[in-house]
Amino acid sequence: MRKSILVIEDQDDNRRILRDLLTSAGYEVIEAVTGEDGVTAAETYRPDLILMDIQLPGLDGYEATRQIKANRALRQIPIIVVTSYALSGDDVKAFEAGCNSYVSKPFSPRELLAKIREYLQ
Amino acid sequence: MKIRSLRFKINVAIFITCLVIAIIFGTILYPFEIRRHDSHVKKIELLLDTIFQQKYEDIANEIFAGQKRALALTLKDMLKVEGIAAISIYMPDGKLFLSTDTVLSKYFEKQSRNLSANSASFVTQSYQGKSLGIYSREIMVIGQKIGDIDIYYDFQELIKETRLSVTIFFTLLLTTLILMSALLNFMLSRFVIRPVSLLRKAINKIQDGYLGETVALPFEDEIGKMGLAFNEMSVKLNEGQVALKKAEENYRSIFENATVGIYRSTPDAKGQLLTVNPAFAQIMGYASPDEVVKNITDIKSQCYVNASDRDRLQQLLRDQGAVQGFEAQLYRKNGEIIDVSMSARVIRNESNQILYYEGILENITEKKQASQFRIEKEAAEAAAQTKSEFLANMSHEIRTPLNAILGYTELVLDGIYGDVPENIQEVLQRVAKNGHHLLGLINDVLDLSKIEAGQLVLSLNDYSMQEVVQTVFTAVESLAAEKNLELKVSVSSELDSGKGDEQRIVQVLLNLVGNAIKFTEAGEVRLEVKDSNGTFLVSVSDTGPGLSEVDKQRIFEEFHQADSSRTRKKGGTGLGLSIAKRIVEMHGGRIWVESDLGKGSTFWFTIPVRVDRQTEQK
Repeated sequence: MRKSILVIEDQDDNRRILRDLLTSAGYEVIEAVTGEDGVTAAETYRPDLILMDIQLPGLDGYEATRQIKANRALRQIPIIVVTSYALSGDDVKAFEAGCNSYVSKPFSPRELLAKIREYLQ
Repeated sequence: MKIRSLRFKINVAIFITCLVIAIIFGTILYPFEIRRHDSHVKKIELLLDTIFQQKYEDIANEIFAGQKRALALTLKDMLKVEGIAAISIYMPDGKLFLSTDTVLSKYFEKQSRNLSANSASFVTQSYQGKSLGIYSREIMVIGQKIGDIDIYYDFQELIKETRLSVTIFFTLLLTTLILMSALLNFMLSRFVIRPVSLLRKAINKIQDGYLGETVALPFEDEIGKMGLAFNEMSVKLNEGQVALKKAEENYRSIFENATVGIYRSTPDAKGQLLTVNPAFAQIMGYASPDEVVKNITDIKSQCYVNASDRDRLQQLLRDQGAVQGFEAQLYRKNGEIIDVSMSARVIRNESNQILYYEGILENITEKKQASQFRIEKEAAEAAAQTKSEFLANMSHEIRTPLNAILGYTELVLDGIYGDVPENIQEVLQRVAKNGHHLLGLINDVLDLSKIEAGQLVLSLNDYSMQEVVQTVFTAVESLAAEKNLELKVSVSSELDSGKGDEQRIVQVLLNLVGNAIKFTEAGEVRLEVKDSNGTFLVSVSDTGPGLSEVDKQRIFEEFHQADSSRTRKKGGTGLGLSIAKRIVEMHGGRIWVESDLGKGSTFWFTIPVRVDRQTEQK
């Protein structure tokens, strides 16, 4: 059975890049555009992993991460946060919100896949 | 009213007392004396009558016979009786017949006689200052009047007696008076006048300002008690005075040492200063308060830059009685203009007339300038804030599409969309490289602008230097391996736990090591960390081309690179070192480079092991 990954990302291009990358790597990709939708999709589809963008309209990535990690049923789903800039301090805040790992833009597709595979063996 | 001494009054009282006693005694004794006098006179009359009866026969016969000589002898015999001064015999027609004292008889000759037979009269008459009793009787022979006889009795003895008793009475009275007066005067002096005079002297001393003066009185009577009360009062007065003085000194000290000017001025249109404190003089540029009072005689025209301010102040004071924080511009003595803030109030007398103004004066020139400066600074900060917000937004806006470009490019290169011919792969690699350069540039510009806007705040936490080095090593390991460079790390094993902004320190070190790898074509890159005296000493050495003297001086400036043509080839932004320098300095450290052309470079930096406070950037 194929592993499913929930991509929460508001930027079309970024979403497409991730979808193309992950699909070609053999994963099922579920997409959400806003933080609220992302949390709902996590509850609905129970993905195997979540890629969370930080800068989202409305509910931002930190808060969405916090909500998912606060849900007992979803808590074990690994969340990889995608920060915009490694040295901006976003990563610290992301870990505080409860994420499992982070990559910063621009990420190399190979690095991201390596990180995903750590969680989806 | 004339002021009399106590002694005089007491003596007058004694005198009046004695006078009253004399009058009362006199009134009581007078009738007794009269009665005694009368009975005495009666006795004398009886005596004279007896003598006359004894001699009546002889006298009658001798007159009748006209025997003047015998009569004279008889009369002379009668004169022997004590008190009888003279005897006269008158003819029935009233003419003197015979007298023992002719002068006296002549004097009384004309006295009319109106005596009935056998009746005698006894009257008192005054003669030559003497009081004489005159016993008169008709001499009858066989019913026929043959003459009159007058026997003159001198009352001298009686008067002497009366006088003596009066004298004794008054002598006694006077003696009593003198004795009483003397005793009372003595008592008065000892018990009243002397203590009172002592008290008066003490009171005079207090009047002269010797508060606390006490008096020692010899007796514990009413005056003695008064003295004790006086002493108590004096001591209390002194205590009160001392307390008052202290309080006054306190207020004076406040007045003298206040840093705000304190003044009192006249309420007229011009205004004159009555009293000022040293701070007032200092604010107005005068040497002393006296100089201020002497020189400023027209506040309105001498001090006010705008005379209308003074009118406005006066209007406010008249209307409201007090003004707070009234701001105006004044001239100092040397003509300099200062901004002052005044608080003043009106002092009125009982009939509600304005006596003067009093208030405080504060020089707010610097405060005003400071607030002006603050306004400017706030504006500058707001501008910087706007600028950095703009930059943050811009960099995000630029980065987003750039990330997409880089993402797609890498996917294409990774063959996700199918095989890519080799020549296109090469072009796409150039696209990726330029894209990464642009992204680095944007990130650096953002960092630098944050630092310059003073918005880069270090997050100071505990960190381990070993971990910092490990992070950097992991990040650059593959880069070094790609260029076949040896990456050597030497960290002393017992480094203290540091405090600082770990990410920023990583950034600095990553920049230095990254540069070293980037510019070194062969050889090694060495990273060393030591600590001494609470400071980490970090060095990054390479075997690269080295730096010229000029480059060494300018390498930490923005957008400067040793060789710009080479930079483009290497893909640096020229901002990394200046950002590193700022970060090190914000940690209170120092960064520098040692290098010789052709012999490689060593970048050094120090940061305190424990950084508790961010060092402000100039």
